[in-house]
Amino acid sequence: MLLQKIIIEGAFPERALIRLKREKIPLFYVKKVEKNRILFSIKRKHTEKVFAIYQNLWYNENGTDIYTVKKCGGDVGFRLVETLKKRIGLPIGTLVFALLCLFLQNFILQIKIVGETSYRREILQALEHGGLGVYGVYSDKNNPQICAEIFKLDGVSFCSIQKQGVTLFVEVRTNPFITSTLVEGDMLAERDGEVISVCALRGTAQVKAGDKVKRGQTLVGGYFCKQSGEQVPVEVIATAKLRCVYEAQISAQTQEEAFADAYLQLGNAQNIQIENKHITPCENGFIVLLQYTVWQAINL
Amino acid sequence: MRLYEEISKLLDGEAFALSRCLLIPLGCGYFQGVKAVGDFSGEKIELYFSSAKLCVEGRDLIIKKYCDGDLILSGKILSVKVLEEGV
Repeated sequence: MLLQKIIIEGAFPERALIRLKREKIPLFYVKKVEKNRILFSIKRKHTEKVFAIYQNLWYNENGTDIYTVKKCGGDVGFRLVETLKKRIGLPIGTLVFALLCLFLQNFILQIKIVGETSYRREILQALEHGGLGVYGVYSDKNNPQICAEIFKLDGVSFCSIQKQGVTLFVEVRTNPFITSTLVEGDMLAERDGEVISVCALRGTAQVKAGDKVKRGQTLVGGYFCKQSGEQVPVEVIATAKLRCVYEAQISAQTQEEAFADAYLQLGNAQNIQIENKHITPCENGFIVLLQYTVWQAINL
Repeated sequence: MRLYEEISKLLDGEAFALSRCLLIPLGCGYFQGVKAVGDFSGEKIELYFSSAKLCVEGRDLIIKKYCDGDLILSGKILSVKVLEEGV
């Protein structure tokens, strides 16, 4: 029911109610707010009728009393304001709660790891390195670095960091189809030379230091022998160091050019260390003699 | 309703039957046949019936509804005095 508040002001304002009663206008919540002022509510549809009766100024039968009739604010809003005034703690508490929620949005109160939980410790370490932790302020500027650190973990194929509310969700997925990447077969010499050292972590060494080997010769065999003599195949994990010699006639203008050309011919420069070089000029260029060591590894 | 009929038989005149009230002690009240409302405040309200006047005293008294002679009074009614003057 929509109500309209009305105020009647005048001497003995309760007498003004008689006229309304005669017109059969229902009155609600009639209250005397002051000695010469009455506040009451009527149905909104009767508002025009009330003002038609009083027309803002009304003289009673004696012709001496004047009543002024005024509308008040909307009933619903008025009641709400009055209720809130009586329960002032309610809007204050609501406001404080809203401000607290807004403030806490910037913080992380919980970290949840979704997906691969076996890497929980490593993931939390990565988050710590990136400046994210429980009860800390959240900032996404280091998220790429954190994800990069998590991707270094074995088998991780997906990583995402998201904040929802006050919870930080870290989703990590691993590839379920990871297969062994070990190369099978024996470790073979990549070039001719003399064996300086052989270290077989897995497999059986076929040569020893000081042996001369040819390119393609087996250095470490992909097996190990049981006590019974049975050979069990395994993936070789081993390293070997060889001393080699390179000699060639190179057509070049200068010694440096000839040396550079010879060095390039060796290939795989990262594993090569030149021990000795000897460049002799000849008819069509230079004869370059290089003594070098090469480091070889398999499954390392 | 029969109760009121019985009461009106004991009393003389139909006017009495038209003016009636229902009170809840320390509570609100319902009045029928109210001709006019006299001076009223949160502590005291004067109600005029055809042959009597009622003085209702209490706390936080509010006329919750007043229409066509029916009046609902809310608040805490502490006492009701009946006077012989009517409207």
